Amino acid sequence: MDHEVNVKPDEVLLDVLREKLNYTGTKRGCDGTGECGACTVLIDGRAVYSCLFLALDAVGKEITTIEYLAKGRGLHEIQKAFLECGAVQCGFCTPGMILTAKALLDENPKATETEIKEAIRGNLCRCTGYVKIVEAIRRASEHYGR
Amino acid sequence: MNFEYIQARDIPEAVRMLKKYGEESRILAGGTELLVNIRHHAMSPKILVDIKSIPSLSYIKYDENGVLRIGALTPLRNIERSPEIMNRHPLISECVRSIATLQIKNVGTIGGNLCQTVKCSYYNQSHVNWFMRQSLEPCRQRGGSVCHASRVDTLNHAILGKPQNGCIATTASDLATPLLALSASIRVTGARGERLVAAENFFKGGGRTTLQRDEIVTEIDIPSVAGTPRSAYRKYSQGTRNFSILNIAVIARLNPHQKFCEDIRIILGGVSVIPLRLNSVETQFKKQEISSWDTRKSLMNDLQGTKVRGNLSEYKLKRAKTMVFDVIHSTLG
Repeated sequence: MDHEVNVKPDEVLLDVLREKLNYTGTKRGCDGTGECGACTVLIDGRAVYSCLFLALDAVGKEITTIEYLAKGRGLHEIQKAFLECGAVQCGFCTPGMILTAKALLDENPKATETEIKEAIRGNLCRCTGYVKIVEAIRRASEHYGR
Repeated sequence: MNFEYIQARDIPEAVRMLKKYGEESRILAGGTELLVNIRHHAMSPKILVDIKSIPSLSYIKYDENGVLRIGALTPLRNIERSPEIMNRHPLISECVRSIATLQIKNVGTIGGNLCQTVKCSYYNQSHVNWFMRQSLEPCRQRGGSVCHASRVDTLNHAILGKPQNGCIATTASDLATPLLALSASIRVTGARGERLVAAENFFKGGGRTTLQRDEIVTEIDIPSVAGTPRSAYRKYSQGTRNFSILNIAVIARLNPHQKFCEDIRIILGGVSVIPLRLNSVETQFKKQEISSWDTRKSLMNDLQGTKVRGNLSEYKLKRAKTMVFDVIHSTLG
C-alpha cells in the first residue's frame, strides 16, 4: 500500500509509522538507541531498526511491518509457529522477533540454530523466553516457503 | 533531535557542504551511530549531509592484483555475506560477523564503522537520565577538562599509553584491528583532493581519526595476502552484540615445511587507545623454528608501561595475555 505523509527531516521512521500512519504493531522499546529491536521493520526485505532510520530515507522503499504478515484471519507461518511453541509471553518483543525471523528465513530458509541465535541477537526479550523463540523459528524453518 | 537535512548527490557536493558548514555539519551514512550520539546529547549537529544515496560508493570488488576494494557506503552485512571475502580475506568476514546486530549491519556502513567516535559511559551518556547526569562535569570529549574514566577502574578503557587528547577510550571500530593486521589503507576525499592513508596512521585514539573536517572516507583497500596464510580473529566483549573490550587479529604465513613463520602480524585491540602491534611476540615467531609457545616474556616487552587501576583492569590485562597465547596457539599450532 502506498502512503504519502509530510515528515520533518529529524523524524525517524518509527514515529511516522506509529503516530502518523497508525501502524502501532511496531513497538518503541529503548527509545531510539538501537538496543532492543522492538521497532524492527523490513525495508526492501532487510531488517532494520526503525528508530535509527530517518523517515526521509524510506521514500520509495517497501516497508514491511508486522501488520502486513497476516492475510485476513490467516496467520503467517512464522506467527503460527510462535503460537504453537508458546514463544510469546508479554508479546512486546514479538513483532520485532517475527520480522527478524522473516528476514533471516527469506534469505536462508535452512538456518541452523546458531544462525538463528546470531540473527536474533539484536532483539531483546525481557521475559527471557529465548528458548521457545528459537524453537519457534526452527519449527517455522521446517516448511518455510513451501 | 533537531537538524536540517541535505542530500548530497555526489562526493564533491558532500565535501563542499562540509566545507561550507564546518563544525555544524556531520556526514550521515548509515546513521546507526550518529543518531544514537545525537540522542545521547553527545553531539548536536545543525546540518546532516546525507551521502547514503550516492550509488557509486557501495561495492565490493577484487582488482587484477588481488586487492580487495570496498566502497565506504557498503553495508557491513554485505561484507559479512560476501563469499569472495569469506574465501580470500576470512579475517574481515570473521570480524564483521562479530559486530553488533543484524539490524545495525544492514544499515551501518564500513566507512561509518571506521569513523566512530568514542564509546565511553561518561561520553555516550544515556538520554533517559540525562538531566541527572548533567551534574557531572563534561569530559574532554565534550569540551571539558577532565577524564572521569581515568579516575575509576573499568574494563572498557585503555590501560597502556598516554593519549594525545587525554581521552582513554579505546578505538571503537572492531574492524581497526584486522585492517591493521592486513596492512589496509583508507582512501579519503576532501577539498584538497584525494589521499590514501595507511590504516596504522588513520586511527588516532580518543575517538579521533586523521580525517580533516571536510574529508570523507570513500574506499578501503585491502592488499592480497601472498600464499596460503593462516589467520584468526577473536573478540572479548560483554554479550555477543556489544563493542569489544579486547580483540586480536593474527595473520601468519608459514614456510613450506611449516616449521617457522615467514611473516606474522599480531594486532591487539583494546589495551591501548589504538590497536597495538605486538612486535616482540612477532619477532619470537618470525624466521626461526618455533621452540616454545610461551609468549610471556615477549608479551611483557610489548605491554611495558601498563597501568593497572584495579581488579577490572587487572583482569583485562590477564585476559589479553591469555587471548594472545590462545590465538597464536590455534593459528600456528
